[in-house]
Amino acid sequence: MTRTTPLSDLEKFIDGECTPQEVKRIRAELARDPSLSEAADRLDLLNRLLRSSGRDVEASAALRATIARRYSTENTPSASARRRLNRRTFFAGAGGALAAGFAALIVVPRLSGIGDAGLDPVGTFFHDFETYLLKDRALDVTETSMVQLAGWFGDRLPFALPPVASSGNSVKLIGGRLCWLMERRLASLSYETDAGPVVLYIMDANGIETPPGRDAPDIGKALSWHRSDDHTCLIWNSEQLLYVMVGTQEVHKMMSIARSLVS
Amino acid sequence: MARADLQDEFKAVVMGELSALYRTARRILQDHDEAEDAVQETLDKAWRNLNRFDHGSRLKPWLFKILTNTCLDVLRVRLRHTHVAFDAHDQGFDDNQRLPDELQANRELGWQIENAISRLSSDYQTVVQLVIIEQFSYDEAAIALDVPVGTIRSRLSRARASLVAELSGALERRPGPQSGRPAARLRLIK
Repeated sequence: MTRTTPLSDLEKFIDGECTPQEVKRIRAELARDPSLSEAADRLDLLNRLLRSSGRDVEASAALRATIARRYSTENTPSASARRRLNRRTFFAGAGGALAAGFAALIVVPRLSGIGDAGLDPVGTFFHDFETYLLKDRALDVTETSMVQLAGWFGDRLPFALPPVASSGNSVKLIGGRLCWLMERRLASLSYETDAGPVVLYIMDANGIETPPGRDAPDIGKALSWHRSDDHTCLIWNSEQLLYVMVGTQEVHKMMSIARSLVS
Repeated sequence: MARADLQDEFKAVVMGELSALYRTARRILQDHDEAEDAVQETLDKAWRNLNRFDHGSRLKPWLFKILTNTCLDVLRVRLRHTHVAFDAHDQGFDDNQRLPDELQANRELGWQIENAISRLSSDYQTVVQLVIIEQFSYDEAAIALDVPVGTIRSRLSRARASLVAELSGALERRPGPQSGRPAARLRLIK
């Protein structure tokens, strides 16, 4: 059988670049020629393998938050507003392939319970990250029982989900989500309160350098917090895990919620 | 198009294509930090020059053109400095023991694919990234890389030949599209 479709045309066909007439001709030939059909399958499979692998990486939460803020409807970029992430500064001391935003989150020097970060770039960045996290409220699973939710996470996490309460000081579990920050998987536990949502992120602390903070026996080690205009973020360690809790409540309220969930 | 409309379109395209911009920058630069910086630099440049944008053109390839040029500038600077490239695979997240078999197999396949792509020349890698992974049309890729469409096709064809050879094992083991099974999903969990 004489093949009239060269490989280059087959590639065009697989890439969706053919005209309707070319598509019709090539389809007819694919139906007639098993070897051509096999070559097309191979090219298509290669495309799909490359796509499934190559699209696995997403822009980090930090980059997305920064860009979203910079080009938001209300704000157009100005020299004063153009703040880079300057990860190299933030990364100092933080090992491993952390998402840029996350790395910034944990090594922000003003974090250790000192108070408001004001409007400095670090504080602004941190605020963005909190805002991003809190807005990202999609759930993989709706669940009010932590036992059930822990079962759902199961092997999806590279660590065993620690004991966390389903409800606590005016908070109720509503579901969970498996999040990725670059190569790191983390559990996101969403709670509702009368005063707004609270999200608790739990991840392997290995390779992450946390700010000094202070030990809080009823919550965990190296507890520190950051308060922006709208959000509070608590960070602490316990049993090789890092906990990040974000909510709109005041610091003392967030502490109380954390205590009721993990102590 | 009014400037306000163009700004709105710019914002929409940027947010929609942010991951693609980052992935492309990372493909070229092989470095997470530099890729994020390049994306931000690109968007700054694009925003500043939005009034020069030809309204008859498409915004997406124009943005990627600025991105690839920005990345090339970074590479030029890098040539003049010692630099240790970031390698996402050497970060020591050894959680393989905890992964289900299928996920582990997919992860290995992912590394195999990544290695195969990384052995291509930089020009070929970028074409693969834009056309195959990001699904740009040949025209869009040609605009983004500032080369003729014929160059895109020839680079793509050579890159494919190399990738088929490198990944022959994976391509043989995987069922074809007519088998009814989906292609490998490297990202089983999201």
